[in-house]
Amino acid sequence: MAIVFIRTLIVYFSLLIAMRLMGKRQLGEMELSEFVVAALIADLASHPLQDIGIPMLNGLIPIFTLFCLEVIISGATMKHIRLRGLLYGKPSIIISHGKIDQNEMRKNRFTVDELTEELRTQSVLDISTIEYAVLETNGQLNIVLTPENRPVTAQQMNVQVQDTGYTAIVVSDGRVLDTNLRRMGRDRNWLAKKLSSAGISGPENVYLMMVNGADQVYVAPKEDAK
Amino acid sequence: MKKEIIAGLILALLFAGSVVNIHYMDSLANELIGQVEAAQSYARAGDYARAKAEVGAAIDRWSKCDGYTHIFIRHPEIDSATDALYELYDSVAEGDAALSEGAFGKVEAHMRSIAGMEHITIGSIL
Repeated sequence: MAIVFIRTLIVYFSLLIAMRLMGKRQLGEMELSEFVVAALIADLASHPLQDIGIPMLNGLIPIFTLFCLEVIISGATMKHIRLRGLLYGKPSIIISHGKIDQNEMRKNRFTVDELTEELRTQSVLDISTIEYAVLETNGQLNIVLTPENRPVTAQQMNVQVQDTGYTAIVVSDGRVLDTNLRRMGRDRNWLAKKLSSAGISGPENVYLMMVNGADQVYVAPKEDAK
Repeated sequence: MKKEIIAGLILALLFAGSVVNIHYMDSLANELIGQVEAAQSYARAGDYARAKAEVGAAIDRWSKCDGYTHIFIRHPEIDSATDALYELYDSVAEGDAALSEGAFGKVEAHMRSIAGMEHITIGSIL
């Protein structure tokens, strides 16, 4: 039992380090090679945990080999566009000027049902309103609407809008985030004044407090503190 | 680029480590097979005392590598090889010629299998 426990700790931290070093992309949208690595690592890591008769190294060596390969391949694809195309494929234009490219649909094994589902997900019900729909290499469908169907912008309407800048969390569940306070050019005195004006005795009674560059403050007091 | 170089170095290090491991396992298996063959010659000549001492030395050598073998070899394989060595020791100690002949072969087969499974061959890869 102790062996399984220690092995789990080692595999957990090894995976954590490997995934962290592979970058944030690994956690969200994955390219083909990244998906292969993630799927393999998950399976490989579990074997030495389930069977203590298998040496720990049999699980760790493949993890680190895959991690190294992924780092080398992703580094190489950043420098060589051809290699990138070869390994990850190229984006496909599925819809162009409101017309579905059936050949591209077949090539990508993308069914009409999948296309319509994806369009509905993005609140697009009329294909004729689409200028381009691009199936990205990570499997995501990006849609560009025709100019007349794009959301109107403030600039197009000649409306002046206030730049509110970056919004930072300064109190999270009663804990003051001093780094964010400093980043926003504020200090604890400012915080105390704002809380006092909101009728809250201290940051320990705040569930969430945010401030933006225009000095707009959002405060959510803790419910049990009311 | 630094990241890629480090990853390449780790891969090279892992490969080098694998090659060193193959050589180590080969030399260990050959050494043990040599001791077992020597013990077999003594047993065939009827000198069971020297055969027993030779098998005892092989067991000691195998036991001394316990830390290394447990890191690199599947544990059931190690247990089987250890059992085969002790089985051989018992049959030699009893002076049972018929039994010890089979036991010698068993130990040799185990050692060759342990060394062989690390070799880079199409068979072991596939």
